[in-house]
Amino acid sequence: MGLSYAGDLTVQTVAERLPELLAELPEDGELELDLSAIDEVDTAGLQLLLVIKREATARGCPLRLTAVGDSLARLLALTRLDMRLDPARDTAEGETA
Amino acid sequence: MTFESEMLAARQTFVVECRDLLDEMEHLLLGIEDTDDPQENVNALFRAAHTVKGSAGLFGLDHIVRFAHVVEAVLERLRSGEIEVSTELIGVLLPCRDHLADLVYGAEVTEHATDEQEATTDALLARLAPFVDENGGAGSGANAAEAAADGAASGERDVHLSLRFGADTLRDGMDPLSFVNYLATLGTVQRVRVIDDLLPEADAVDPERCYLAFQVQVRTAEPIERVEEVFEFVADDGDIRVLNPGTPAGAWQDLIDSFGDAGPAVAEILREFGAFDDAAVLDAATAIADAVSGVPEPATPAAPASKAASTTADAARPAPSGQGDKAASGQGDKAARDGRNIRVDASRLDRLIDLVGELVVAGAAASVRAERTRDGSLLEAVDDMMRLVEEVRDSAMQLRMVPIGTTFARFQRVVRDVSTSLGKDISLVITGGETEVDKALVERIGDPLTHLVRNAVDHGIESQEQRLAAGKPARGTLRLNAYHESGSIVIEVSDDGGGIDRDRVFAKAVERGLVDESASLTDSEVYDLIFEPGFSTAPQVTDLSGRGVGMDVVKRNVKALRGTIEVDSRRGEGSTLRIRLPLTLAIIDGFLVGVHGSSFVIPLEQVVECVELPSGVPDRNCMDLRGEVLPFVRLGSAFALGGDKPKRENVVVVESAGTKIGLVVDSLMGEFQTVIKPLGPLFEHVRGVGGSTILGTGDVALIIDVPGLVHRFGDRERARQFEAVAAHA
Repeated sequence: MGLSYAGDLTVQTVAERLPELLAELPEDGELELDLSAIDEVDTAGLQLLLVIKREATARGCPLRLTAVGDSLARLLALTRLDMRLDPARDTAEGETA
Repeated sequence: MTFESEMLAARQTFVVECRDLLDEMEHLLLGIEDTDDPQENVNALFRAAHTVKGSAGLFGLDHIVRFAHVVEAVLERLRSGEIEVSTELIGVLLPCRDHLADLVYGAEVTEHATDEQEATTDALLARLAPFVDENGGAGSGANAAEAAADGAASGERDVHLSLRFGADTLRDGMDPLSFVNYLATLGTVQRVRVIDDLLPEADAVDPERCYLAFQVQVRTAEPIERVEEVFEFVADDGDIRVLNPGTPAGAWQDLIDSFGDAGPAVAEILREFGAFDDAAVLDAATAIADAVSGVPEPATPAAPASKAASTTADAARPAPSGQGDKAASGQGDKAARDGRNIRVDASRLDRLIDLVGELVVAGAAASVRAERTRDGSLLEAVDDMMRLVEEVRDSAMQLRMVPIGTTFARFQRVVRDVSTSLGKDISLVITGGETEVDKALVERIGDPLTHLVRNAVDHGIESQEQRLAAGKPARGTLRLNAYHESGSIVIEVSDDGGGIDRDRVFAKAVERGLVDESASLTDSEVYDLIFEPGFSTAPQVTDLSGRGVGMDVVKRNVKALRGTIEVDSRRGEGSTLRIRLPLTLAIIDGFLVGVHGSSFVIPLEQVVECVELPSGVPDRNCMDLRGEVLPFVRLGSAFALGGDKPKRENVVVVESAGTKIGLVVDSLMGEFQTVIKPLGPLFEHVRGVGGSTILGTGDVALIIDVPGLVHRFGDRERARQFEAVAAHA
């Protein structure tokens, strides 16, 4: 199943987003997240993605980021978290911000 | 949230945080001459100044940085033993601290200093000049080791940053990633790696807590201090380390250890970054992953490691090297402690208290109405509700309670300043600082207390020569004490000075026409005269053992807080001024009584017991209470209420400041909890009434000011008895 989010993924919103996302994790099958409409991601948002990813892996339902916006893509590339979160986007290059 | 608004929010927090640091600095400066180990104070002072400077730098408050920089440089020289603690130096540093505080508070409004502030800065810098190194290089001198490390690595190089942020960083409105982004203004951010070892399982995660740590590599030509300054503001709560390439192995080992279980992952990142490539250390670290048993000693002895590691790291690191686990758990404790405290805007708290007050009144109204219905289940429900309301009130009140110690601590400075200017040697002894009192009271008692303390230092305690002549130690002692006593807080200001000259006070009072020459007054009545307004206007009164300057103002302030003030004094031994205040201003537990159709509320704390007025006490206003003579006041006649005397009258025995009197009332209507509404200015001077309140029925009831009544009638009655006894004899 697929979900798409818009707005900010920041400390102001994570408290709401976390239970939402956990509830969306299917019993089996994979969850596709479209984050291309996300405006801003801060450390809290990044943490949230890591938590969800880990939980999804633990439950055996892979999480896929089907699309991410520019700023998130840059952030993931810089921190090398793209390798863990595996967004569907060509981010092989761009070690520097 | 934009970077701008984050910075604005952070700047407000900056002022709040700095306020604590500045308070601490003052405290440390004042204590430094008395402590056995000044080094500890000096270190803490240096850290505080350093942090203020660094935070100011982060916000571009250059005028603060310019000033704090020199203060810090002087403290650094003090720390390294190049200069010594002296009264002279403290005398310069104290005003510097004040000016720093002035600048910081100013930063809440504007980013720039006023001309006046700049002038003060220059004047103080001139006074500091003799203590600063000749080469003028502030921060040089003792930072030699650090400077050398810097020098070796000056020019563009890859600096490694290890950033572990405090758990509340996100909640405090700061985003660690913004700091990382901000590094881009100093150089090129080469690589960033995230350490998520502390990130718990999804069901245990607190999404607003900061779990992530970062390893960052920045290519920059800036000195290490510049890089550190970016993080000054968060360094206290987190573990921020900035390392130059070529830093000795010990510091890297420390860094790896500080991550505890994640150490191997960090070692791996260091290897990947090429930041540090001592195979012995890195392999050892990675090996721990297999042998979880413990952390082995570093293969290469860590010789000058601690100095090479930044001062920030020194300050933030709770444990020395080789004990990563301990360091991590130390951080955990701190995080937990921070989590237990939250800062709340005082106005929100006041709003809550107001609402609780209204709730209490509304509850009382409901209770009265329920009473009338005689509906058992309704009464039970209302009782339950009232019990909860009371609990809510108590806990809301608790929120406002603060220890009075912080207010007391301020007087160290007052005592020091006043005694120095008078050439006296006086020590201040504080006890009972943990006694809790309503915050609103604390704020309003400060001025009267300052007055009393100044007075005691100025006039209460004699000059050194006089003291020695009287066989007392040259150093005078002033005591501030606080304790709880039957619903009140008592604050005592005592000195071991010469005491009050009773005869001179009396003579002065007669001269001023305040008392009749033939009046026979008790000692305490004489001492009370110093609070009379007439006293303070007389110019000569200042040498009259000193008390009298503005004492009427003090008394008025204390009275405005529904408190009382009394004096104890012994010739040659000293005086004690005792202020008694209610614990809170807003709500009281009262005892509701009826007198000739009117209702009055007597504060319950002062009610001792209730008895029936024995028949056969016709005119004399005293009765026999189990063999004790109890003077009483008929409230009806005291307030000139018309109406007939009922058949049976009751006496409410009240006590204030050790004196008991009875209040004769018609009916006893039981406990009543109420919000105090102050009387209008027109009734301010009515004696015996402390305020008003609205009853559940909508009627107005006056709240009896027991100390006022006791004062007014208790003394008069006792004097009459005394005369009667004298006439009899």
